[in-house]
Amino acid sequence: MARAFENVRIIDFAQVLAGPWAATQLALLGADVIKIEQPGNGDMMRRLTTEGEWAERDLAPAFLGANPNKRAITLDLKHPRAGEVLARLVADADVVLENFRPGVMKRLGFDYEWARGLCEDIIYCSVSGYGQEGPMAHLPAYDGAIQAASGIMSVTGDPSSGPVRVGFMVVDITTAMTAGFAIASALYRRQATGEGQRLDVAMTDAALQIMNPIVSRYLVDGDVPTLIGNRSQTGQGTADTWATRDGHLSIAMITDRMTPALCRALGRDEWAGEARYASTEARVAHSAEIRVEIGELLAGESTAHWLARLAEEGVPAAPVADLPAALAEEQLAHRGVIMDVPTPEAAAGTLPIPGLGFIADADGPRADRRAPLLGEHTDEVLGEIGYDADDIAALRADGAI
Amino acid sequence: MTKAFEGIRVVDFTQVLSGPYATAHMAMLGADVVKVEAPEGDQWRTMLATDEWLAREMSPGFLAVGSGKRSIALDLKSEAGVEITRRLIAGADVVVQNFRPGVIERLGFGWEAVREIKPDIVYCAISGFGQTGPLAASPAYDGAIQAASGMMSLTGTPESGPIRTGFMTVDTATGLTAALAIATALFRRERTGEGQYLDVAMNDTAISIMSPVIANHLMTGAMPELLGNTSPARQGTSNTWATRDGHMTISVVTDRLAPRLLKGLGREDLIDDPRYATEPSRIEHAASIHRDIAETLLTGDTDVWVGRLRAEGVPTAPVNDLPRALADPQLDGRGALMRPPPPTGIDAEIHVPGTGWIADVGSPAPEGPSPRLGEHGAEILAELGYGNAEIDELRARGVIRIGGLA
Repeated sequence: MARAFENVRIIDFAQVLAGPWAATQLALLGADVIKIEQPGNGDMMRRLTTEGEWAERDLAPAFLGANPNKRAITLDLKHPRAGEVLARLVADADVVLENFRPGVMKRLGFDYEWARGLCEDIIYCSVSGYGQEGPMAHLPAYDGAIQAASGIMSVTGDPSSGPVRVGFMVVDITTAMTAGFAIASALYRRQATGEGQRLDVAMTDAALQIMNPIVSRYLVDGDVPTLIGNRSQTGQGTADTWATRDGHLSIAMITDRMTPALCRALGRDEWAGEARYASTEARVAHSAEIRVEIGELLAGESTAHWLARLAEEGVPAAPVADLPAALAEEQLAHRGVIMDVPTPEAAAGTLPIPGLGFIADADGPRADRRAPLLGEHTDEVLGEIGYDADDIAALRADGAI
Repeated sequence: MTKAFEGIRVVDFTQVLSGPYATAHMAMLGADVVKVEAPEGDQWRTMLATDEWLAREMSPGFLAVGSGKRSIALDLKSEAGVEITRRLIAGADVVVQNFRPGVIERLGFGWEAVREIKPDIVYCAISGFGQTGPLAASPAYDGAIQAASGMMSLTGTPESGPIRTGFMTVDTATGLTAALAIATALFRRERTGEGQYLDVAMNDTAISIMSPVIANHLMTGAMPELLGNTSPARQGTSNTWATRDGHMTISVVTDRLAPRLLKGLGREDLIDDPRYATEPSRIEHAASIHRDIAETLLTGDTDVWVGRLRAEGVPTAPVNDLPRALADPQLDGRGALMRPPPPTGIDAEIHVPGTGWIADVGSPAPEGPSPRLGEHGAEILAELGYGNAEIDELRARGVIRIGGLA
């Protein structure tokens, strides 16, 4: 038994989230990921949104979440000796991952051609905002910019709120998932062909891709999506989110078959016989009034009350949970989605870190150790690629590491 | 050029979105994805479609995840249907299914049963909350998981309340999770000779994609608020603002970029203002910084501001609607938009979204059109060793549906 990517080595130049998370997925599946950071500051994610005790160690919780299982070395990429160190690292590597702005790696002298010269079958994955070439390739790109440019914000929110940003870094993470899949596919392809591959992953492309159904509706039918609020893409008045007496509740009732069950659960059996509720077309046409009358009923009782009634009738519904409620679900503990990652620092000895979206019968994703301190493994990794203590001291004295 | 999954056969029992989206990625990389449908077909074929496409059982959403797949429509509850499926699985590398937990076991194709047919199978089960546990039986559609996972509690403003991400983000992210899991398991099989059982959950995926927010909450106890359009970094220089003719987003979260932003805005008067100087001060004075920028941006048009800020190297973007986002020349030649051939018997030019990446060789691309319901039934049965007379008989008995196209 072995996790899939044991003995696969990834040289990870990536920063912040879209790049690092790509490598993290493979690290959780056994890859040896060596994170290269600039001496002094390192990955800016180390300090982003940091508060409290972890700030002093440059281990922001979001950084800890995004970099488990990796080893970190510092290396000044502009130092004259950087090329020699990287050449030894890449010669033994399977994957190079970077998310600098397009052109930066070439200027530094570490582009795909360079890597292939050192390691014929290297997989070289670049992650950027708009892709490596084209009129917008040079533009800086953050999650928020791509949420705006890709149309994501134009469909999130309601007419009164205007366009709303998705409240987490949805583009960064799904771009990373795309890159993780691209790298895994390229590794598989290499097994069959013996060839490496150059991969060009773009946040904009990933954003369009995760909106797949509404993008295809527009492309095929010309249907321009608008701010949909909490209604369902189906447009039916019986699928929405409503306020209850003590919270919010999401219901998705979109079939004729289930209409009587919903009406029973709401205590309004008589609605089941009305034309407004009888067909998909009617539930779309009368969407506004249906939403109002369901909302008036739901506001009278608690979320728990309605959930129980809807469950008895088999109507798909879910409470709108805040994070503490969502994370308290026994189901998550049953699945092990939140991994307890060993760490020397925390009083309890472990840190809770969200893992991946799947488990396996054997050799599934697993965090063995916490994200590295800046440069924590510099000596160890340089030792492995043939530098002795004197060499390492010289590199350090010279400011390369 | 060889694609990664050429020669790999996927037996795909999935419906609607998360599963078909996962196998679409496999198909675009050369896998032979055999879509096993009930005689009435994947319900995604007829959802969110205009009458024209509905009549063809080819909704736009289906077209976007169907390219290059082959379809066999068969009655899984019939003895002959079970035998056909057994033969299919015997020659397969991957089985993917997204029935409610327990359903496929009753049909006889749970993991244990499939492993007896094909010992090194990669078996991927996709569900809302996972195959076992207290919530395994709970209804799971994209909106329910957006609600239950805490995702909605992060999006919106205090006035709007929790807001749903305006597209099926959990479905598609779960598809990406499954695609990665399958590719990983295939790679592992190459090295160990072993198959693997993969249990993919929409709820786990939702938790996973919120990782930075959740890690922060779990380690510090910080409760995320409805942030509206401010960035999770909470700095006043990162937000979305109205301009004279639309909206635009600016993401400035570093000391280096703050003065460049002010220069691009023509607000040199603020460059030495200490509110803009450091991350803590940009957080502390977020409200007044937001007002400064709002007043300025309202005096000009989006395109002008975006041009000026980009010239200063400031990360910014217009808030585009889909037509404008898709009209961007940057998308030309990338894999984000694809033109698969039209389905058999349909004369139309098809444009659909593709993948988030391109490669120098073996890049993901459609291998063929989306299949009509049951279009490849006869062809697949022939490959499995059924003769013409047997195929005719199976069709006559209603075990398979050929869709009137064969």
